[in-house]
Amino acid sequence: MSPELAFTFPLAGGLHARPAAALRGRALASGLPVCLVNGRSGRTALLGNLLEVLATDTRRGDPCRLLAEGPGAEAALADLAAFLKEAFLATDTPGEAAAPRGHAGTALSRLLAGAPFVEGFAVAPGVGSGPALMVRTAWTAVDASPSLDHGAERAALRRALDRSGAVLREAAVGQPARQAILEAQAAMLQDANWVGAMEAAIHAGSRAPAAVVQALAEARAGLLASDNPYLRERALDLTDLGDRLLAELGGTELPALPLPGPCVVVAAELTPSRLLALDRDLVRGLVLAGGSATSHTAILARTFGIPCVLCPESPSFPAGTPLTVDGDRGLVLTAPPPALDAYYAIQARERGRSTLPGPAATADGVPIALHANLLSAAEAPGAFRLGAEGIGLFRSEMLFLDREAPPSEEEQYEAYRAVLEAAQGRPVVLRLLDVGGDKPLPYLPLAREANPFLGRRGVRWYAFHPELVRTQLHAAARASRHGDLRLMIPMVAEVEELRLVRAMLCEATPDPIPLGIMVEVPAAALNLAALCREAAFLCVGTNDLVQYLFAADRGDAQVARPSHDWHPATLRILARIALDAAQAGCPLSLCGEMAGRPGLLPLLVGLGYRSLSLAPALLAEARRTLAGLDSARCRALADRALGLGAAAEVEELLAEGAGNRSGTLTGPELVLLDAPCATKEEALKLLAERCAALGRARNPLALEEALWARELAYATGVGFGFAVPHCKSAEVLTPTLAVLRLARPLAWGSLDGQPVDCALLLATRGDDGGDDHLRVFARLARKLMDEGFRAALRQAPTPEALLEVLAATLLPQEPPCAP
Amino acid sequence: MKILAITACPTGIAHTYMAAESLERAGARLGHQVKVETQGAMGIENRITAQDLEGADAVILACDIPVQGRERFDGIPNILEVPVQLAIKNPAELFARLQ
Repeated sequence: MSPELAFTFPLAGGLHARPAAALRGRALASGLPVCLVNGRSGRTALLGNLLEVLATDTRRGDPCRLLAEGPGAEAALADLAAFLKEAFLATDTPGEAAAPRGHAGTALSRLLAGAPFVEGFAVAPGVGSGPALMVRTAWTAVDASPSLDHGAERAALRRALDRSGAVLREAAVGQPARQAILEAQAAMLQDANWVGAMEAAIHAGSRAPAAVVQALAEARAGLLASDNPYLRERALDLTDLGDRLLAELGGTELPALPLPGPCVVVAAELTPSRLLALDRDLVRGLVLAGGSATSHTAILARTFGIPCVLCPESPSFPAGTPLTVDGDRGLVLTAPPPALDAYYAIQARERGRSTLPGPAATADGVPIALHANLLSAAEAPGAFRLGAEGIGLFRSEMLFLDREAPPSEEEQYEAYRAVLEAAQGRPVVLRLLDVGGDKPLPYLPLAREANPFLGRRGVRWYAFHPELVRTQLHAAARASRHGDLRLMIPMVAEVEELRLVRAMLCEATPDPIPLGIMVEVPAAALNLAALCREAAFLCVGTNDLVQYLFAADRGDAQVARPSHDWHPATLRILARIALDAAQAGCPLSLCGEMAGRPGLLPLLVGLGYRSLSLAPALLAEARRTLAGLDSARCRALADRALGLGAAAEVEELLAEGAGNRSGTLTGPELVLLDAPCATKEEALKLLAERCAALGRARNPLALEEALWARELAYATGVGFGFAVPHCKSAEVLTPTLAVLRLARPLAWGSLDGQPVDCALLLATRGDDGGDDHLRVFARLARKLMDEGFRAALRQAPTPEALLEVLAATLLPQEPPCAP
Repeated sequence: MKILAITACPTGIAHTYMAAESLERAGARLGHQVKVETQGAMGIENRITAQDLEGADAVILACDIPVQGRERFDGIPNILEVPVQLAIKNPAELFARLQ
């Protein structure tokens, strides 16, 4: 009986193209045929045949088995078992769940006033406008006449397949963001069933181009018939490959599509290659049909920051129709009324506040540097657009994985230089090669280790393969002339390891490049003073640190719990690291999943962390969360957490919430004077976006909707030119009072029918314990009946003066009414 | 007149208290003895007691949600029920309607 490996399929997105290609690559490295059996769908596939693998329709939770035959089968399966636990998990990009169906919401519906719009699915955020440009994907008529020279046609097909594969692999070089996508496509070109169908068509008399079209049509039909959206999505990849193959057979380049100017590109299908061929600076938005947020085109749209909406049916608009793509709400607005421009402008301006470059800070003004973690050079421009102050972790190993040969010095140099140039002088921390037993390289024979996580990982592996490290150091040294490059050594446990790499670096270059270390081995954390004397900086890698602290394999959900991240033991070692680094005066930052969890930021701030590095997509939320924190309260919170004994107790402490958040109800940035709003929709939009930008509400659109829900019950215009828009909503993170004094009075539907020139926003969670802010709200509501108070609010010349009026009136002096 | 009132709105953050303030101010101006109980997000405040009920002439219920403890007013014939907004907009008119 052949050996087998049983596992439960782990990826939320199912077995789609990128994970399938990664699994295939790993299996091929063993040189043995490996078979995947899905116990739920009952389907079986040879891992070498990518389309067959996709057709197993494997989803999360499916009981699966891998079977291998031949000598070394046991070892190959052991290798695949390790792979499935670690690197495989990274092939499923987070945030790939099905996009929510578009929804206009109250304010937009009112502003649209019946103007037409299409509800699609929001897959790439942002709002963009321009005339519609329809792009049709159609293959030019292929020669359908029969050919008798099967050999020549077959040779032409073979050439086209080889050349297309080569072109795709070449395009992937130095473009690590697209690498996985392009290499998955290259792997499809080797799919035995699909290629077999083409050859069969040639055998039946078709010319090569007709055979490609025919085999594609069959394969596409099979994929499109699936009820798995991920599988249907792969039909687009096939179209892309068809484009390439036909271009190769016709001896032509893929046609570049000239854009007449800024526009919204509308297409039933837009392949990744065709998107890449467009002048992206002119593409203001994308409207595509069907598909899912996992479509490779959608992923690229997010990478490039192009708003993108998927429509349930083939979108079609007369050429030149003015369109607005709302990639946050999932809407395509046709001929949007001009009133929308000002409304969306408020959104863009306020969102810009939370992504502006420059230090993020707590509410009490403690700056927290936010840096980005990068998997690939291509992500760098997007990370800086989102406000990263630098690159805190550039994982260089991604350049080395899943390929047949190591990257050349030149290829590495290009990738590092690309990041440094995008950084424009901001710091870039390049983590030196972090591979080894747990992340093996196909081109390096590695001794099998019984326990790869405790084996030759990171720096421990350098002594065995110094040539690879030297090449990387040479490439990094050359690239360092293009910006502020710093190098970081992974998995350091002892001072000698740091010295080894320093010696290698000195051999490679005379330039003084800062050399720091990852603090992810507990031994390093407990011997930090010595390491600080020789390291230029420290970066805590919480993922591995927690894994080693708890002796719990983080790929195994049976033993590694997410709560280990906030367990008192973890907090104590983090506190000690921060203290030792501060005493030694050694710059300290923290990367790892902890930094990306907004709920844990109060603890990290309280423990003394002032520099964090996280995935670019998480920067904006971290910035908003930090803006709502009070550093002294965070410190008190951390002190209390350090005295606890279980993760659940820390959770309870965090759930109290109010303890770590800023205690201030309002502030100068929440007093908006002479706001030029032309409609009530704009006024509420501005208030909601400002609250979210300052970290006081989770999602601005949801807060806006909560305010409108109240307005619709009955307008909050209370007369005398005043309105009190308010809500009790879980979207509110910190109880908030905001003042909006309008440049021109607005119709508000007030009790006395008069327009409103002053709006006071009162927002509360409703469950935040303590009635202090409710008492202030109540006192404020009562004071609005006082003409003198209203006049003082109207006449205050500056936000600060207005806050003084509020403080003088609202701070508790006596109970609001006799008991 | 000795007038008792309760104000309550769905959120209990703003209108409840504006209405209470409005009734208290207008009542004082018109020479009435007024006590207003608020039923808001902080619960019941300035509660109307048995002592308050003694000799009360009329009750104003300016509420958009069901009132708690309504049975307290069972013996009082003159009860005016209005939306909370009316108490903010025109309290004097409410007192006039009680006459």
